[in-house]
Amino acid sequence: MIQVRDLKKSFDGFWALNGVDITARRGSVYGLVGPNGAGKTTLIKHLAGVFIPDGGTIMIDGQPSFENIGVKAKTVYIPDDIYFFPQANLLDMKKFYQSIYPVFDEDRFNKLYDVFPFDPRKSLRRLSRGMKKQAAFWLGICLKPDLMLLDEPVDGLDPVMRRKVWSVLLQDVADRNMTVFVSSHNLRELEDVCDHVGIMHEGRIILERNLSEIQNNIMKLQVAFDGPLPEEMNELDILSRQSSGRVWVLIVRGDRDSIVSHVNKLRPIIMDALPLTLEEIFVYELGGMNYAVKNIIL
Amino acid sequence: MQLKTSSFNKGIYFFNLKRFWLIAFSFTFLLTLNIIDFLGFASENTWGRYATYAPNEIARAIFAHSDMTATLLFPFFSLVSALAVFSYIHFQRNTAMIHALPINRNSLFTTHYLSGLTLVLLPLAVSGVVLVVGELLMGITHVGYSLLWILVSAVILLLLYSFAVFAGMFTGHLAAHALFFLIFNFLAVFLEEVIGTVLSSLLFGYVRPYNSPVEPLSPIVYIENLFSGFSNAEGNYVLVTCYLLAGLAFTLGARAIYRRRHMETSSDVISLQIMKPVFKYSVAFCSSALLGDIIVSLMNFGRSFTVFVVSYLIGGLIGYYAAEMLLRKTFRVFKNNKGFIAFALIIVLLLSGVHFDFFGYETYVPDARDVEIMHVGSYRDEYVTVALDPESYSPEKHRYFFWDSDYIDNPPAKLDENMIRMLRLKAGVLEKPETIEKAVALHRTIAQNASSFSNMGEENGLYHYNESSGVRYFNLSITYRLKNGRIVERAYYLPYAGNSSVDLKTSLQELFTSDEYMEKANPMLLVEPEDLNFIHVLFYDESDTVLNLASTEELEGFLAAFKQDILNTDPLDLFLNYKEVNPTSIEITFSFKEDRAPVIQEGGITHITGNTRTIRLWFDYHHTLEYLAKKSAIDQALWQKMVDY
Repeated sequence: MIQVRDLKKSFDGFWALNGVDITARRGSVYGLVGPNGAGKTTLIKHLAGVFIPDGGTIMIDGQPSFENIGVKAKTVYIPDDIYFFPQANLLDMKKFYQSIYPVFDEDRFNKLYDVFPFDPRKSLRRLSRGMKKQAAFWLGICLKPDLMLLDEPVDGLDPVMRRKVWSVLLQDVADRNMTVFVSSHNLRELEDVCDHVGIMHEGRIILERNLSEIQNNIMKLQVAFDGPLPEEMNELDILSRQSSGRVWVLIVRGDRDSIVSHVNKLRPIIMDALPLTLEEIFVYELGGMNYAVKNIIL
Repeated sequence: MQLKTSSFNKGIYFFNLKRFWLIAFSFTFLLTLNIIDFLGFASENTWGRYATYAPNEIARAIFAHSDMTATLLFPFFSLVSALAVFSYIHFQRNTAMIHALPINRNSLFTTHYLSGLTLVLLPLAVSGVVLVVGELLMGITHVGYSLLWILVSAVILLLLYSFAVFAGMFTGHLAAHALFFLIFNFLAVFLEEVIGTVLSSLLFGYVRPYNSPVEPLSPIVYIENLFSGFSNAEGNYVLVTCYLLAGLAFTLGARAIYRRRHMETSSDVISLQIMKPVFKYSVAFCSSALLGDIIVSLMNFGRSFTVFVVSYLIGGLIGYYAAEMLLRKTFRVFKNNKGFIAFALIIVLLLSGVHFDFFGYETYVPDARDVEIMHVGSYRDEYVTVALDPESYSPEKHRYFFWDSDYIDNPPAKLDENMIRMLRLKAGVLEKPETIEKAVALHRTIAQNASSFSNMGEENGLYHYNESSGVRYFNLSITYRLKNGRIVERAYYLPYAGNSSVDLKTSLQELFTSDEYMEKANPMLLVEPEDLNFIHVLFYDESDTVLNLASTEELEGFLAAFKQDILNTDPLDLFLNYKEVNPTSIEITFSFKEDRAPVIQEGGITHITGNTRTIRLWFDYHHTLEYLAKKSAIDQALWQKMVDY
């Protein structure tokens, strides 16, 4: 769905994007994570066709996105700082989008009255940041896009509303194979919804992974042996090891079943195989790359 | 639902009109008020008791009646409309929203441009309809002028609006957008004023152009003149066409820039990288000129070269670093000085070039043999301009030349030979080679001593009469028309007496006592008794005594005394305004035989049909007063009272 290659963009000599490569397949939820200033918003604005790249290519569904009406007609971009026309209410904006986008699902709009509890006749200017976000989702969902670009989408939304919004979006992902490209500076927020994650730092993608693959491929082992850690344990791909008395906490990469089977053969006194949080996975994955990983993830 | 792929998007267009209807409404209201006011004027002059104008003149008067309105409203609403519809390009979030829509940039520009244009043209259309209908109801059928007014106004609105849009493409800042529009609109006249001020102050003898050649480049300034021309049936259609083409060019230029515009430049003062140095040095130059001139004026240090250089460099310094701060969005801009040093060197070089006369302007004096005709006087007026250059005659502009003739209402399209001859009888206009040689010699003396004259001016504080040194300054204007048709003009402010090492008195006296100068300055010297019917003398005594001199002997006697008094007056004193100009209570009217009437008038073409001339007798015309005393029977006390009047 999205294929970005060697994308570059500079602002007054500062490289905001410095050779970005991204691949997101159709029907996926791609989370872009990075600290403030990493270039996430700049990248999304390129995908939305707002910015002109200085170099590299952006293909969406095999077509360039910039000045491509066909691509943009199937894309909805919801920025962090949303703009609606002054004086306009939700119904005005609905008319506006109806006059511009090829698809606007009126039935869906009416059904969403139940999801978003505010008066659509109220001037959008007077709404809170969170309610403006709701309005944007309300309109964006009705456009039934193939690609939804979300920049810090749930900032300002309360937890209940976050869940509702994601629920509607994920339903579209499941039903219509919609792709969601979402950026956030908080990895925990994306953990439950993303199937792909890219980590961005200083204008580059430093890591891009399929979450289900890496979650199955890395685990935390808590083991204790009746003596020191057996030599055979070194046959495993241990990313990290810490001990407290006889108890060892190991981060191990590899197939879960074969690791458990391998350790059981060594007759541990105790053994627990625990899944890692997304945050922990990236801390260990990036541990040797000399990046300020904690700053990126937390 | 239809996907909008054309270069126009109806949704955005109507949404813009809906959002910004107040602009169009306000413009319509104010413009229509002006039209209604004009219709009131038209009604009064069509049906009123004192109606004197022809219907076509009334219809044409819409231009004169709306010139101020156009000057104020057209630029204001053009700018406001452009700011409104293109405001989104100055804000990051607005830009992001609009540019993420499935509309290409070409279509976005065209749609926004057209909605703004509608906001300014729709009010004109409404007012135009009111105007035409109103005139027709009043019985004024010359609606062609109303349609012309609509057309000319539409072109100006197109130009101003397109320019406002164009100016916005160079910036990502709303305030800068408005400022650029105003600055560029006044740039030509501002630069002309700056250059004029510098040249006048530093270049000895410099004369500013009589008619500004660059004013049309500042349309806001020129609207009044343009409308005035159409009001006088002298519409400048070429300029209107140029404005139309310029409007279209600005539109295309704006569209080309918009299509390539980097939208991340929203909130930047300059949105095009290539324009940043242009902006920086332009601000530095304008600031140098504006602040420099203000410093020169405020500090009252005189207008010397050093003062100009220092003041202009201070102005440039402020402008240069202010521009740097705006561009870099920081106050820390003082480390890199290379740009300012280069700018300062150029300013010093330019001012030096003017002051040290690199182009030989100050020292240039035409060869007398190359001069066809010239004028020497305190100042050059329109009579002189047309006398020297009859091609510059314009019936509407110069109709006042004919104020007492039949031509006042319908001035001739061109001046005939006789009219030109009459104009050239004006005092100071010199045609004879021997007089021209004397005038050129005077000019040469001035030019050769340019430095001592300008130095003296600085020392004594120019522009006033210095009583302690006894130096009196006077204006001297010298204008040549060369045989190749070129006009050369100089104007000086010169010292006449005092500690000047250069003696101008001899050169001035040689010129002012020449036959041609004397005869033109004093046309009565050429009048003979046979030219006159009679001389009527009116004494403003208690009973308004009248004395008529009609016999040849009386005419001869009076003229001899009168001419003697003219010749006794020092022409230089007259020129320098040294002569006491106290008149007596005696008024003299010369009645001429018609064919000699022209020679006794002072200027212009008014005298072609005139045959009388009335003057007040000066108190120092002793010969004439003595002659009249002998002829009249007025007692001595009353006589003295009239003379001392």
